[in-house]
Amino acid sequence: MVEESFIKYKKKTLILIIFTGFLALFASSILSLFSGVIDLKIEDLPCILTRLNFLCSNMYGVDVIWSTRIPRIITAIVIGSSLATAGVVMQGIFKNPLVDPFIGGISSGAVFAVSTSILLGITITSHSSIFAYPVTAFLGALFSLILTLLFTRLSGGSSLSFLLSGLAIGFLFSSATTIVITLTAGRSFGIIFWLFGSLITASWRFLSILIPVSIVVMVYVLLNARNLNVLILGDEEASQLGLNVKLVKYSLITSLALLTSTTVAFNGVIGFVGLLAPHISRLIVGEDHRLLIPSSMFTGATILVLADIIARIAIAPAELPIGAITSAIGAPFFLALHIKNYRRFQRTL
Amino acid sequence: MDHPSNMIQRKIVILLSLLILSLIFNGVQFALLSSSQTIISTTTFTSYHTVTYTVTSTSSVVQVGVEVYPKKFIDFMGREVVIEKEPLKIVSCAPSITEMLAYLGLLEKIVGVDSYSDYPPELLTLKQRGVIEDVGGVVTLSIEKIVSLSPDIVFIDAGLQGNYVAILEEKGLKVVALHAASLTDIYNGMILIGEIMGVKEKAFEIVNRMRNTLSNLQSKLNVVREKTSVLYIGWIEPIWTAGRNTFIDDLIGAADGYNVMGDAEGFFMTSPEVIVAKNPQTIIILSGMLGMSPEEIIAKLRNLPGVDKVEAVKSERIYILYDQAENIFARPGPRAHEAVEILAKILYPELFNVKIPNVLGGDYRKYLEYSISEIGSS
Repeated sequence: MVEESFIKYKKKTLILIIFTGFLALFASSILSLFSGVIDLKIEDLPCILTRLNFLCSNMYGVDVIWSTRIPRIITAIVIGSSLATAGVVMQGIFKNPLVDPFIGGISSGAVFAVSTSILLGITITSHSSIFAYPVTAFLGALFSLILTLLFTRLSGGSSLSFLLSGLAIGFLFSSATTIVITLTAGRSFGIIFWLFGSLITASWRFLSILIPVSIVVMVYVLLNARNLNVLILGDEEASQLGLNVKLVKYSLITSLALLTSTTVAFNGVIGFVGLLAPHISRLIVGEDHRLLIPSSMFTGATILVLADIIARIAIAPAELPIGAITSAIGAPFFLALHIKNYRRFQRTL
Repeated sequence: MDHPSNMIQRKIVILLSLLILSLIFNGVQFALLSSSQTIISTTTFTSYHTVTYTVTSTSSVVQVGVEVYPKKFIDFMGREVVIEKEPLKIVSCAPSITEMLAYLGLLEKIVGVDSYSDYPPELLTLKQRGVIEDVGGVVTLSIEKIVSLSPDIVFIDAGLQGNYVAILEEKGLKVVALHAASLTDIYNGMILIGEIMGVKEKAFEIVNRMRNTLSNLQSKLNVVREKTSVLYIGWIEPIWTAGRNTFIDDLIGAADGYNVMGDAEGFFMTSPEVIVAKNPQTIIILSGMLGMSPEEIIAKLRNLPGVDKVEAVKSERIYILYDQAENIFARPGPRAHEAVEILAKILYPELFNVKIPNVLGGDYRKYLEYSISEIGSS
């Protein structure tokens, strides 16, 4: 029997997570809104939020912010929470703390497809379409995922065989990309973006695809939070408890892989946030996925919004790769938290 | 005794720390590479092995006796090179160097060039006939091929091929490194080649003609009160542009334009927001790398968020250069003054009474009046 007070405690924690998460995310978004090459004053805030003429003294600046900076902040939030979700669930499924959202060769497949498309000058849709490279990247990611799943099936279908198949497929596509990049010489400008990831390309049009996909997948994942808690116990124990282990596992893996592929398609491979956000959250809220997933979402989103500010302003007008910054700001925080946890653990011994 | 879960935690921390460090290093490496002056040498990304070297921007030509070998020189990497006898067979590893050699009348001494060298047209014929061999792409040189040609001198570009110097020297070849990030570098490079190959007078003649052309142009530009602002775009998705200490920036300066990205250095990525904030009056796009038609490039540019507010887009002053019109901007060689003239006419059409078309290709020469055009003409 689960005690009622325990449920109450969990519910309270969840509300606390949502509240503090929103607060942190809101604060960092406001900070992001006011940092960049176009200067905005805090008095402009009502104008920015409402875009009503009589509130505005700087309509031109506000228009630009609406078409560039605001979609960028929203993209940071969506991508940050998506990658964090994918990270936390993949780590849970594989019971491996070093798994990141790009397993299954997703990133290498996407980068390979785009590099080849750039080298040959061939795209699936018309060149002028802003979706030309995203579609290519997505198909590349999907292709490598299908290959990985196929080899997983052929090699027994265990979690380990998925990880190893993904690793091998990833290396295969990485080496192919290396060859392609060597051949493209000067054209590598476009490929670098996919390798390191960036929010430069953020726009409302991309968001119109990114947001629905991420919401659908995230809701699906949240509904499966309880199943994940069962899955953590081990495959055998989980099936004894009446869970269709294979179905839950592979439906989650596939939907998250689709989510990750979508983020790669629009913004390249943004590393580390999907690894770091779950670990930070785990240290704060523990292993219960019903709390862990929402808290990872907020952590991931906040990290990426903050990292994007640095990427944008550190060496303006040039941009820094966001992947390097996520680790630069997230890693010290993670390490500090870990030391604190260790000390608390020692005291309780 | 450690608690087992504690041990696992500790392992995780160690592994994650290693991952963090490697990611940070990758990022730093990227920042360093993207700020380097030259078009990025792609091999460094894939092998994660960067060779750092400093390129001396002005080479000091040390001359020991006239037309008497051995001669001693300092090349663009600050290396001392001794030329024992008059070089008869040469290999050029970059299109800009090939063009310099051709302008100096040394075409018949070339035995090998890189795959990208395609100018002058005579060179292409010689390549097709197999008289001049292909030694590979600028960052994928075939060492074996170069060695098999047994050249007396291999000319390389220090920015793209600095890491090949040791490899080629180890095979017993004489290597001379050139590098140009400015017009002055081109002049110095021409003169260095002239000295080495014993065609010094010819080199000075060409350099003087280039200089005269530019000073004639600049006297015309003297009346310019307000400089036209320019944005250079080398890649569109995402936008790569060039700041100061790049060849393109030097060309913009020589044409009396104002590079809106001059507050940063080297080639770098930037966002649409920055472009809107900088609000350039003209946009120059080198299209060859993009592999798209001009219409597609324009459509892509217009699709960037906020860009419809940029002056150059509103007034349709977007110039797309392809083919040889692109090469004169992309290759720091003996045609650089032609690039300056085209650019000056793009920026100040009313001054020159000429309208450069928005899409300019191989026929760019018909818009030149100041520059010497053909090889060997005097």
